[in-house]
Amino acid sequence: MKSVNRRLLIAALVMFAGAGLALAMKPTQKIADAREKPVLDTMVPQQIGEWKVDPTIIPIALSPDVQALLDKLYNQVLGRTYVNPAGRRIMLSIAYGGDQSDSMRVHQPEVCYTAQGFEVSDEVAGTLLTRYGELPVRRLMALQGNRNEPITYWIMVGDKATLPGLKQKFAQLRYGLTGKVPDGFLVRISSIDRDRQAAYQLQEEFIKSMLDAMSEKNRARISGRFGA
Amino acid sequence: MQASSPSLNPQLQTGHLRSSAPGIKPARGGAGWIEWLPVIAGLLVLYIPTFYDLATTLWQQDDYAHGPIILAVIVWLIWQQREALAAVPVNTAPLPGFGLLVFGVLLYAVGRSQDIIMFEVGALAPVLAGVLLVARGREGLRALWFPLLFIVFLVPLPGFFVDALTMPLKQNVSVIAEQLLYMAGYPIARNGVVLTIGQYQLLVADACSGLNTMFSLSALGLLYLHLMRYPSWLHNGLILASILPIAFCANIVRVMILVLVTYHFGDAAGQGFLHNFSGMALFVIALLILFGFDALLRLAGGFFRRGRQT
Repeated sequence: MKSVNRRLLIAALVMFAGAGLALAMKPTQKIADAREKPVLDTMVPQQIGEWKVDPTIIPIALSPDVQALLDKLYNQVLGRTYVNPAGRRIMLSIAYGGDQSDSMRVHQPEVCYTAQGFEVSDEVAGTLLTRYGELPVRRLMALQGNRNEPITYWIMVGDKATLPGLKQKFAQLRYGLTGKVPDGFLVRISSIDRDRQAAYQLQEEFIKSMLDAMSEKNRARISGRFGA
Repeated sequence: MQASSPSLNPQLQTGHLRSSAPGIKPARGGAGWIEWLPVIAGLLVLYIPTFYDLATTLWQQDDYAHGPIILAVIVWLIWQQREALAAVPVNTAPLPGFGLLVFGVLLYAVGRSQDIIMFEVGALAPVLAGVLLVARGREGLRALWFPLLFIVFLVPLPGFFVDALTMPLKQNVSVIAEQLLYMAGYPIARNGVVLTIGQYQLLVADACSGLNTMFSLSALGLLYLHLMRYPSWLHNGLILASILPIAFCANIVRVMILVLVTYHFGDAAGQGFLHNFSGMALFVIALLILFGFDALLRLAGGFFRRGRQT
């Protein structure tokens, strides 16, 4: 009996140690604090190759109540429409979250569009080959009545471009296990088009032009440091 | 609940005490519980923060409302086995016990610090199993195997799993509901997961996938089988296999009822009280079908046995 009691005491100590370890391992150091705060409005140029900002159309945004909640967590959102000489339009939306990347979930097209009555379907994960490296992207369709909106998007966890889900969690873990809280971006490109293959093609060209038009530092922040 | 009280059911009693070999005295019945105090304190330190966090976040969502009930069931199941556990001879397995305990505690620490709720909650199983091995060895583990297994249902379904299943389920539910109502002569059409009936348009939402019903019904079905303790493996297996199809069908009925309510009584009726109520009704219907199937199996079993005797 004695030895059982002692063993159970040791077992309890192991548990107390585990509770302490969990506290000690909690990431606290926000990498957003250690780096320059991005200004989305100036990060992406008004002119991208042959594309110019069209001030008349603003892409789908969050509902006001969600937006109010997010403004508290020093986040930023950029919504713009670009138009090329041929009159084709591309909508660009970038969201930045300084801490807890989980709050970025509300910006995910699957969540954000669904909340506004769109039906989201045909999600496909793919890669987009840029001259700087491979970018993982997810493509999907948002439908509402006659509005067919093909979407291409990806997210950033710290310096790593990835997609929501398990990979995002792994990217978060790489920071978290070293005590760091990564910041995050979500970059979404969409257009209104019934021909989805053509739309994805156009979006791909736009993304490449956009990366070309950005400074190296800003490019790294929204598409990752390739080969690093 | 009555069926699980040892004094009422002799068959159950042998089940409970199966592990106590004759001649070995229980480990000092009355005062025995004091030795558990340190590990109970340890469990509370580990899991009060976890369950507090769950209670203030995830468990408040409709999808996870079953969480606290599952927790209560686990505590109750362990409490039910307290005498069986006390009757287990003290025969410890410290090495595998501590190994499992340390593994569980590390899993917990990673899960809690990195927000991996699956690890944090799931770690409860190896932690408890480790403690039991340390204190009572394999016999102790055997006394509490079912509550330990039930911890599976306490773990919130991981997001990628939910995402992977929700869409196909919704799709199937929409298609079948549309087909059935169309055959019944209703003016219904479907575009993806949007159903159009008469002047109304209804979106089959994520919550209508029935995934959570499947999850809760599985938990309840397993608990029911455990409490009934049917000796027949065929009987147990058939019931287990029927749980998911029953939940799926009940969900189709639910979606069809909502569509019909909207069609006949208007949008407000379909989206208001009835919408919430239908979730509960769905669960009760699924449960009744399950019990009905169980009764049928018992009946069939009775016929079969009698047939063999004559």
